Amino acid sequence: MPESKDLWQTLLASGEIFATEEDYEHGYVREVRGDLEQYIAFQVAGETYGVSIGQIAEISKPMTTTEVPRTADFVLGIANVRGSVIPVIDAAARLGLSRRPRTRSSRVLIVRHEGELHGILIDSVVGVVPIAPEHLEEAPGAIGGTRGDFIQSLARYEDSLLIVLDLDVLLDPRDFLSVPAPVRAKA
Amino acid sequence: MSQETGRPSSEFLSEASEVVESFSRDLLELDAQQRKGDYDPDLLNAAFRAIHSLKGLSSLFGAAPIAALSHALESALDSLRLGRIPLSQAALDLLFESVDTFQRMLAAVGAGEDVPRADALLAQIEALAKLEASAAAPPPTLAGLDDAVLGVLTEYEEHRLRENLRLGRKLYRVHASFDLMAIDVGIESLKNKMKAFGEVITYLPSADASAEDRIDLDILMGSDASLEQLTAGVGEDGVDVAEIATEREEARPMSEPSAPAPTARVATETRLRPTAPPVSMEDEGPSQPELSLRSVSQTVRVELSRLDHLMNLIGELGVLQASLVSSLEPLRALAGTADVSREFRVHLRSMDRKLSLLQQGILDVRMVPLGQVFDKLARVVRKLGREADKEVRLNISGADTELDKLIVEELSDPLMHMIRNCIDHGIEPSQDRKDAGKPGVGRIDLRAFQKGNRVVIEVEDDGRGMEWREIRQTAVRRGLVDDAASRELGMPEVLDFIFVPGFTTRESATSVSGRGVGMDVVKTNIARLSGMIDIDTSPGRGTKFAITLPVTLAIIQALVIQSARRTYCIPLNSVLESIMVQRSEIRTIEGHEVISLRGKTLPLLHLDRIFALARGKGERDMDRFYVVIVGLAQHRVGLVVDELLGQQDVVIKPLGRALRAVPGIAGATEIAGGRTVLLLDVSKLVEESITRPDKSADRREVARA
Amino acid sequence: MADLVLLVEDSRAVRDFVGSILELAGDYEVVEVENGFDALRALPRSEFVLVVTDVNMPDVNGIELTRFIRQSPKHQGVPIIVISTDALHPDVQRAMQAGASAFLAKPFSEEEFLATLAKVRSPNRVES
Repeated sequence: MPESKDLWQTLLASGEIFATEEDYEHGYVREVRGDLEQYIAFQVAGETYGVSIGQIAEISKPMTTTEVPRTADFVLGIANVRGSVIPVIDAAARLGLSRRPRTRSSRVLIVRHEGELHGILIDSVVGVVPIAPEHLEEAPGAIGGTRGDFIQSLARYEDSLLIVLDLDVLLDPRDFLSVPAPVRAKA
Repeated sequence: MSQETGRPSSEFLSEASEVVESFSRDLLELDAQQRKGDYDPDLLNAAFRAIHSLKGLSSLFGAAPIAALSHALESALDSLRLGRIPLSQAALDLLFESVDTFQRMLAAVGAGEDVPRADALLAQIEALAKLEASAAAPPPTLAGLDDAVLGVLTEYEEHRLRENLRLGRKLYRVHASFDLMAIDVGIESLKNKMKAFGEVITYLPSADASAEDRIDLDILMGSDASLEQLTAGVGEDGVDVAEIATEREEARPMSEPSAPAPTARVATETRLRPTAPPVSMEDEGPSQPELSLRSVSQTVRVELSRLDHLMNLIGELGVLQASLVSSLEPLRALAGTADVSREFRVHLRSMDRKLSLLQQGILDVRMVPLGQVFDKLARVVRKLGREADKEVRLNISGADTELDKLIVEELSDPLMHMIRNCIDHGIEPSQDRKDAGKPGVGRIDLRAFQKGNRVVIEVEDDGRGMEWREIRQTAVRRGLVDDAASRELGMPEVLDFIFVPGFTTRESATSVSGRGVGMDVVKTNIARLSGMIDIDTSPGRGTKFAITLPVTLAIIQALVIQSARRTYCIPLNSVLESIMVQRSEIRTIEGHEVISLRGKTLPLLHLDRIFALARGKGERDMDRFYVVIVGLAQHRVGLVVDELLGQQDVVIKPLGRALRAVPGIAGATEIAGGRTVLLLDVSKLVEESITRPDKSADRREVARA
Repeated sequence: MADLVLLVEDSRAVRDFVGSILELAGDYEVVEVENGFDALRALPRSEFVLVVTDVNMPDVNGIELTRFIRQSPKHQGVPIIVISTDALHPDVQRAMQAGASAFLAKPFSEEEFLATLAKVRSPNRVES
């Protein structure tokens, strides 16, 4: 994985990182199949998660955050990105997984949700993955330590499972405040 | 064959909105005047013209329902201005309703949705237009005017001439010659003079054969004044006044200094109505020249997001400039750089000055007059008054006081709430008022004025006021405060209870019932604007709310402080003073830490405690603290912090939806050095200190004297 | 050198609409003014090949403006198109009597405007 300042651009440019067997069978399948959805795959606490490319504005190296009092543990704080102030959360803490120490591969995914930018700290980026609709499955209850609420669907690629996250749940504002503000009851 | 242009453009929307706003303003004035018995026909004509424009606009841009409604209204207004139907309250009601309808329609257009039809309203308007008054006395003949003149008047202008005659006024022709380039200025001044004497009907231009850069105007007007009076008032070099006789013997006095002796006999005899001078709406401010609110010819409409972008850039420039200054510091020590360094600093100072001017310039662009909101409220008062079957009059002053556009927009809901409460619960029914010796018509005063770097908006009524003792009892009943403590509270503290969410006292049908509805929302909204709200009431006499707001939001002056190694900003507006305090000066009363300041007790709030800021091991307990004294209405609280880092201008950036609701945090700011620092919400913190005791209240020490 | 057209109309949106039609129709340059006074000021400054004016304007209305133009030696023969929202209104008749060359009732389409334009500018039009 090239270590470059603009990882995002690199990924987009390189494109064909994960071509599947099927792709070769059909030739340049990306041109032929218009319904492949692209996802950014990334690692959190040893598991692989994904978010649709359309929701990602930028992938950045971790930045300084300013702590905000009275917020939940998973809220790292706020950061100044492209002139706006955005909240940054720790994906592992949010998903209820064990946190790993930061490394050189740690990144912050800047996602666009309901018109606003949010930052999500992850362990590392795996790459761009095209997924065919027939490979998406409904999620069963929980997967490992991750509560089912956060999972939008499961996708198979190569031999592994990609857990596609539901940003509506992940970034639900009601959970950002710490008690005693009312917290949404979790299943 | 209508023009299909697809989606109407944003220029259409913006112009259409302006027209509707202008129409609404005219209606409000007409309404007030009509109640007094006589109204200025110019206003009705202006209303007609506005709808006429709207009709043309909307038909050209394919907004059919708006065009249809405008068309119906235009006919009705034409009949109204030509005197064929009377301007009754019922007619005005329909006109006001159409304003609301137009706004709904335009909103739908803007949102790309289907425009709602207004069939019921259309039917009512058409019914109104058919109500032609039975033929009055035959219209007076205009024999004194030759056909050449009559032929170029519009039907409306002709009607106004006859109408003036019918009212018993004399018709005059004022002849003036103007320098073509300065025609606007010349006309303005002459027009103002003429308006003082009567009604200006039309301007007839004719070419001046002698000079190509001059133009002659014959102005027709109607007036009660005599020829001598009018000439004295209006005449000057180059201006002649002649009376138009309505009998045939008159010649055409184009440029003679005085007309033949007037033998004007009016074709119809008596005056039907005393001609009162145009009455202005209840405006306690200095009297406005007639055109001030409506001359928008030199304005530009700007998207607020563009201004925000500019503000951001300016803020960042300011931060950069501060960084430049501090980067230069080390250079001073270097030998041989004194001259260069000095030159640099001179330039930086100049840059600083220009930046301030630029900043102020952009802030000024965002400023809009409160009149925008006040006009809306005037309509609301009218509607609610009728719904509640109470007579209420709204007095407005200071409508041209300006505030940042965002603030003005956020104010409309809270003000609306307050006025609604006022009408529903504050103002008594007319008979009750008379029984109490008050005038039958309730009064609401809406005032705005600037006070230092703040703006104050007052809403005052002369209604029944609030029985604060009852409020206190209700608060005790609801467990908000215990009985003993409640007796210690003065009226201001008791009144604050009405801001507690859900504080409605439906059990008692007294002055307090319902007052609490929405007041907590009002307070939250105002606090979000870094504002404060104060109440003053006098049972039986009325209540006054005063809202104090900073003039602008985007860049403010802030006090930067530090607590437990975290940095925060406090809006300077909210800071009353900052002092240094020794640990020994702090006393504890019933579990609350306080200090004594100039004879008064000041409760303290430790920022690190209320925010649960962890302190590092080995941080020594301090002997001295800084206390930043902040105020909220009558409450003062001292915020205890570790360090004061100075005052500076900071750019406020909104927090996203996720963090907006964190209690005690108003937003984020960028301070010099580029750091992002949280801005404290003073009013929330103070409120917490009142309703929730500081956690230091573990030890119950007896107060030391 | 472009031909100059004087457009007298207080609605900004309508000015844009008509102005853009003219500019696309040919080598026209449009001088836009908002009211009769401004029109009076603009007239002496240039030679106009066409005047388009709204009929119903406050102070100096379109009829008065038309008569003024017809009486002034410099602009006498200029074609004048008056715009109104109602073709049957007496004001339109008065405008025609005062010397307007043609009228257009709102709403009108681009085609209608161009047709009227062609008619008033053609060499065999009748002088009012």
